[in-house]
Amino acid sequence: MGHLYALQGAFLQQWRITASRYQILMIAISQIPTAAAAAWIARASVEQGVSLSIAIGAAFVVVWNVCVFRTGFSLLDERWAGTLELNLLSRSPLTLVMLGKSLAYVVFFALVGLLSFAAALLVAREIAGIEHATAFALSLTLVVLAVVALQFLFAPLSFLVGAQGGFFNAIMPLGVVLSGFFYPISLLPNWFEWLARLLPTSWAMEALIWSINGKEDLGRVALNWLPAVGLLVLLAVVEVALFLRAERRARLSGGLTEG
Amino acid sequence: MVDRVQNFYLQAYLSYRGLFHWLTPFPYFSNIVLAPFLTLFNFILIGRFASIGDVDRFGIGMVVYAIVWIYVGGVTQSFSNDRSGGTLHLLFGSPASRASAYFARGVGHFYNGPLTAVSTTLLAVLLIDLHVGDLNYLTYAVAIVVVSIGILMISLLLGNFAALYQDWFLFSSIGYGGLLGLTGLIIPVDRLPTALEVVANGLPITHGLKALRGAFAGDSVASVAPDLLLELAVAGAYALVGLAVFTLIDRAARQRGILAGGEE
Repeated sequence: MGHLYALQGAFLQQWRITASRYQILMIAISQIPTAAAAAWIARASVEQGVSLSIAIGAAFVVVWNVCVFRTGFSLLDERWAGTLELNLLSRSPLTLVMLGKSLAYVVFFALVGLLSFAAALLVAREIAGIEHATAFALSLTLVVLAVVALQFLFAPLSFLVGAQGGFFNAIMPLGVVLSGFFYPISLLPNWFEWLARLLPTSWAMEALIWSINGKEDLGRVALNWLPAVGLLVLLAVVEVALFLRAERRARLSGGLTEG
Repeated sequence: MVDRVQNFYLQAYLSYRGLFHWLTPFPYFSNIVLAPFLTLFNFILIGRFASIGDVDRFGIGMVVYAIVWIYVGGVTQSFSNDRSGGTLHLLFGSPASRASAYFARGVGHFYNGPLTAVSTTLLAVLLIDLHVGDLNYLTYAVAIVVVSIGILMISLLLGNFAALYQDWFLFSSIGYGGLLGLTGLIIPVDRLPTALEVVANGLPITHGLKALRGAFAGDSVASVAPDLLLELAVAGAYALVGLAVFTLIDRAARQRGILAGGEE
């Protein structure tokens, strides 16, 4: 129960810092044009479901781009701010505390992502039907979980490698391409597709796109869920291991604050 | 005269090395090579998903966006870091030429624009078959340089506000979003609402991009010269406006004792 309080407390603390009109403005200015550009391309398509897929993908692109950056620097920020030692004093695992903060980023910027979704639909001027509604709902849930898991990986990772300014600027577009937020990853060249297949987001997004356009039957869509869930579990295990390593390094080196 | 030139290049070098925080190996490679190519790749794939015939059009737009990415991000952070690092007031307190100080902050970044444009183009040709069979190399080179000048001038203008508000994230977001959405990189300018089309014609890239597309179609420098000259005219306007804003901020800083760096 105490761990849940810690998770909730971390979430609320980060939410209060993050949720502001300034953040909405800043993210909307940079992300909505990307959504509009993608939707404009989709508008010319005669294929079913392209516009809706891209609009949904645009929302996830906002979440991915912003959260991988914020979450990625979150543990480093704790050290810079001198609050890491307080987190380590807590009886709750560091992983759980940072997860609470990361979830605050994801939830807030998902709401901002809805602006990109709306902008994309406005530009595309088309709302297609969804072929397999139940599969769509399940696939959407999987995509959300996969994005949360994937961006959370970078909190301990950037701490361990000592990320500096500009570190995430290639990771953001790489995640967008490999996750297939805007298109099924089967469109990737073979030499790139195998890399994308290592991510839970790519399997989940492919299932989502198929559930919208109906190009694959329900059985094939469901087949994508298994590797997505499996990779999610694997990611979670890796993240816990990395957080333990980061915590050990912080304690042994005494590097709990900057300077 | 020689002293002034030396001073100018010294300012350019020191401000570039000291204030541009993407100069470490991995971030530099990411921002010059990886991120621009991946962004180009992303839009090409969107085009293929939508079964659009001419996806190369988006690729050419993203070659220019590569320049936007490195200039807007690099220059705005440099201005902001000048203030947060506590060195901006030293500039304002010095008797150095304001024009020299202002433009020196962009010169150091200049080579990054053509460099990222060429690397993005090369990767696009090698990895995703961007068509360059008709490319006029001279026109391409001239168009890239001219477009780079325009983007650099608007980046310097945005840098003023990044220093004033000590927030390069917001002003780089304005640069990225505005130039992506309004200059024809993906959405043709003539498909924008009328009011936005007017704005677009006053932005850098809009005219130079036409010249660059002409280069890929095999046009000579002479045939794209009107677009290049328009692009240079727009760049010149932003240079003057940016310098005027910089001078105003300088005066305000001296009179009101603000922008001392970090403590406000």
